[in-house]
Amino acid sequence: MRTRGRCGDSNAEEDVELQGVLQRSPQENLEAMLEARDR
Amino acid sequence: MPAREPFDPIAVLQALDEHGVRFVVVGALGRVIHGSGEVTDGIDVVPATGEENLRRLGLALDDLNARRRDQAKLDLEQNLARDPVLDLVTDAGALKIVPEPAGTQGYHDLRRGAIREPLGHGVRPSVASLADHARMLAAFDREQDIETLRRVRRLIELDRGASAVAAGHWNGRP
Repeated sequence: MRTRGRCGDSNAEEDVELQGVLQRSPQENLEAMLEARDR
Repeated sequence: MPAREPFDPIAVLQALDEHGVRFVVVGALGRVIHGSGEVTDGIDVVPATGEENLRRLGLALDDLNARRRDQAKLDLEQNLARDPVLDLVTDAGALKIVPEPAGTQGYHDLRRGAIREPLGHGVRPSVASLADHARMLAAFDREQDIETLRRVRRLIELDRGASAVAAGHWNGRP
């Protein structure tokens, strides 16, 4: 049961992250990737 | 650690635009533009394969100083007739020309769902839809793509939910 709980939490966390992604523009997504690549 | 190859996707896209090449962006960079969160060192494009478009593509590749990664002679028409993927190195980074990605029927198939995405610097390439990216990843059927495919599918679901809310059709259920 605890495992299922953690999985649910992790899915919810990912959904929050992905909802944020959907708010970003394509240009922001590209720039974020290029910055990550240079780090 | 070896130095990373340069990668300037805007320069590649500008060169293709300057020659009026018709193409759709696919692969990791296409998914990145949609927000997949991956990191990539190259750009994959699906060109229209008509004679005039390939001539234009050839001019753009000349501008980018493109050469085959395997150092064989670059002959666009001949190479594309024989190789499913033309793996190139350019002065602006890696570029793969893929006339017919797995699970698709090439440019005209992908163009239907593609959207012109503004990336800055006046560049607005056609990028394959998330649904088509999922279709291609599923067709590859590679273990390394499982997590990316799952994430792309979740992005599609969330995007559909957001669209339904915007249209007033959301019933609150996932």
